[in-house]
Amino acid sequence: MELLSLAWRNIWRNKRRTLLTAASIFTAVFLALIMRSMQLGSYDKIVSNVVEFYTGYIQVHAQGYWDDKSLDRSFVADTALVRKVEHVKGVSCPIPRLESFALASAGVRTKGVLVVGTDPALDNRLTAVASRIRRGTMLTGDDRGALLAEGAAHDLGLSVGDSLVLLGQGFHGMSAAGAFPVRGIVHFGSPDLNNRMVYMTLGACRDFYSAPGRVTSLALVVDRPKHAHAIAGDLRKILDPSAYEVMTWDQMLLEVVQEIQSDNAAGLIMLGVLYVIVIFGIFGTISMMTVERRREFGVVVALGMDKALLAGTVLLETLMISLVGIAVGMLGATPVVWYFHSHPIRLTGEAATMMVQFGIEPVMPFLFDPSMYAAHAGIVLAATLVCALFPLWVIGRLRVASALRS
Amino acid sequence: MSIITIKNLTKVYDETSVPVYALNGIDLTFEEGEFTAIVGPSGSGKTTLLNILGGLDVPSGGAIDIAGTNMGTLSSRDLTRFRLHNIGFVFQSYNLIPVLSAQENIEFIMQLQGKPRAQRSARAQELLAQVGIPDRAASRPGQLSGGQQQRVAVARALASRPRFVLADEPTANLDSKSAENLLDIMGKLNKDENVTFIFSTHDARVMHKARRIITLEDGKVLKDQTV
Ligand SMILES: Nc1ncnc2c1ncn2[C@@H]1O[C@H](COP(=O)(O)OP(=O)(O)O)[C@@H](O)[C@H]1O
Ligand SMILES: [Mg+2]
Repeated sequence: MELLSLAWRNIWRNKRRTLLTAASIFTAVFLALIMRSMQLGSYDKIVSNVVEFYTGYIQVHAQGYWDDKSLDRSFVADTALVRKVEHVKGVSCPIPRLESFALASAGVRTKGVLVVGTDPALDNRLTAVASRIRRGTMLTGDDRGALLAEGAAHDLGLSVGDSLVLLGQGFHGMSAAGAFPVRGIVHFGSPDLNNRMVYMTLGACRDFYSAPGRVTSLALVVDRPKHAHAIAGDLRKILDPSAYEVMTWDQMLLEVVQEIQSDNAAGLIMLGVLYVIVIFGIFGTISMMTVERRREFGVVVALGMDKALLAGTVLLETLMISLVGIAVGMLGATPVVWYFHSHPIRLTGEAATMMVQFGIEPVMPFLFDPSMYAAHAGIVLAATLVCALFPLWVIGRLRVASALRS
Repeated sequence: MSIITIKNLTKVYDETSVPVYALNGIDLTFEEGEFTAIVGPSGSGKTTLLNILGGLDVPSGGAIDIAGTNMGTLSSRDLTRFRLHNIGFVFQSYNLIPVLSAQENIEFIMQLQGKPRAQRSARAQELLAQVGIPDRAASRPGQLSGGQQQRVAVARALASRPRFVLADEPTANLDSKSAENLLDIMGKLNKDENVTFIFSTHDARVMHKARRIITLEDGKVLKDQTV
């Protein structure tokens, strides 16, 4: 009969109450994990759909380009500059890109598109565009053709081998016009990108926009996306700030990030409400248990049990109840989270249409993140510890003689 | 040699609107090996006196010395430790720990004292035999009769080998046969093992088993007779 076993037996004195409390903790942890996995997973997806399919984690532009995306704010990416960027720790490959808007037409249909001229092989390292070609083939090094996003191809009624006609404004107001054979149709996760992306080689694009030797951005392939901010900081130190701006993905996707933050805040509030309910439940159980056992506390202290030891035992009991709930909650949530992590829910019907309208791919992958488990276990444990202050306070103030008389 | 000396002990309960003078100047000494009953009508101060003797409550005035220790000088924590090693308690309503078996209830005290497992177990079994229920070691309090629970409580009180045992109305919840039985067991332990017992009661049959009877009235010692 050690204290651990005494505590364990004590929590089962009122089986129903302990089970109810553990079950409420289970429910909270279970719901919280599922809700958060879904929420954080979809944020990850929204961000990676743009970052990993298009922008990359860091870009270097001419100063002011991001706010006013004009070819007049393009720059010459000479070997010296590319070398300089390449040498920064964590940067594995700068990809020169020239991009601008154009009007695409095919027969009587027209559509605004985003034309990205790039080195197909290098770009593929960042965006894995080759793997997303649904029909047709990847661009070769000096290709004069184009890759067209799936949605745009659909809207324009174009397929592989057809001619894509582009009209736009080139560098320094030159007019830009050209016809490009469609080499392949590419899928993008982001509905927005899927609707308006046109890929071509840097050479073809420079010719189209009359911008020889120029780029609008260097999109960087980095070793570890997590280090993007540190890498960007290093880049800012070596690049002339009056000439260049270095932007990380979250600066480029400012609106998306803000939307995610507000959605996230709403999720956290819901979570907070859930936890408050559960914490009141825990407190109810603990306080009832305390009040019922005041006399018993008096007895063991009378017999010679140190109050600190008694408090420790009671603390152990409360921790046990919540650990049981946490453990069962985690065990219950894991298969669900894991399943939807590896088999993302693909929405259909109205919900899907609505998400697409908001520019979100109607897929809900769950995030499987051990640190989230730790966070929720931590929240419940911390709350339990706070609730356990009540019995500790009662024990601390306990007057043996009056507890025995009660 | 006296193990307890109390001088001019008073206790006033003054948390209430009208202060209650529960003990009014009590002088007593108790010797090792005594078998003493404290008697008196309800409200005469028996529980208050026993609580103070046991270090469960503090007096309002006067001094109390147990085996050379002035109880007034101990901190609450030291007092708890002092109780653990020196005083055994038996309560009116048994007060066994419900989730522990009879044997575990007895061992609990020795565990608090840090005694090794083998020694605890042997002593608990010896005590269960002495109180006449060696076969109920594994029973939980809920599975025992009141009389059996109180025997376990007596065994528990003796587990720490205390200097004396205090029992506040130990038979008040028992039928007369069980009450007599319990007193016989206590008397035997007193004779054979020289265990000092001080118990309160208002049951005439029980009080006549004592060798010394102290009668309280209104918080004063009315009579102190040795039989
Ligand atoms: N906590 C308390 N507060 C106020 N009065 C008390 C308290 N405990 C006991 N008393 C009073 O002290 C007196 C002695 O009580 P007690 O020692 O319990 O007597 P007995 O055990 O002989 O019945 C009684 O008048 C009782 O009402
Ligand atoms: Mg009483």
